[in-house]
Amino acid sequence: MSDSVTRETVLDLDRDDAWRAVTDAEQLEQWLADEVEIDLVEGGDLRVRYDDGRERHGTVEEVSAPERVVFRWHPVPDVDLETVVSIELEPAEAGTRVIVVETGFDILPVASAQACAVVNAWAWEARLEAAARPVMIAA
Amino acid sequence: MTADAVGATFAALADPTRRHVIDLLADREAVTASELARDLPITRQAVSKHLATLADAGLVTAQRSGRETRYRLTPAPLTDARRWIDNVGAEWESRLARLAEHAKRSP
Repeated sequence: MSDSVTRETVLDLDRDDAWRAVTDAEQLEQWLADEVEIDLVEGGDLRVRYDDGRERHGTVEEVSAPERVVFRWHPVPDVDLETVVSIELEPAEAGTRVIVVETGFDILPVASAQACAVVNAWAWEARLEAAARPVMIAA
Repeated sequence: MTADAVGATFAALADPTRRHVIDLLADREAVTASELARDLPITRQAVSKHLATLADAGLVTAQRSGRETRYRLTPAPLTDARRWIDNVGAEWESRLARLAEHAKRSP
């Protein structure tokens, strides 16, 4: 298990348009969340809301137009777990590649190989759907 | 698993001492707070407090036998939390799919 999540896609947009798509509140509301407020400066506030009532608060960390925007947010309400999301834009053959990396989940792989082994053994015995594959690998 | 339950797991894991306690428990069958305190730079009372927090989050179970209480790791919430993290990737996938769709519609 790694403590980060990476996903990417290629947008049919030039980099400046792609930059707006990932930083402009109105455009973010088309794909990130139902309501988005973002103060696009380092240290600026980020607030996203979903129609089901969930909310996330965050802070903008880095604004390097039109290449990279980085923010921190709290993915679990009321829990002191803060993850960092970096959205990077790269020119691609057919447009602009968007690479999202979310890091900061390292409190989970409870560090030791033993803890992971116990968890894996337990999942196996419990024959959960996850039993077919290891659920934790020591970092 | 509900966001609340995952929240309780993460809140319990946010403390480095409690993560250490979990590692120690993973190594052994069932231990007492005093046994754990021997391997930690904190008092038995402090260990008991951390064990209570972990028990509230469902990460350990306590078993009384005679005068002593033995604690054991219950990994279910860790597995659920692990799945929750896997789900973070799935969430980004659907967000990026929406973004790609949005980009196609944009002039």
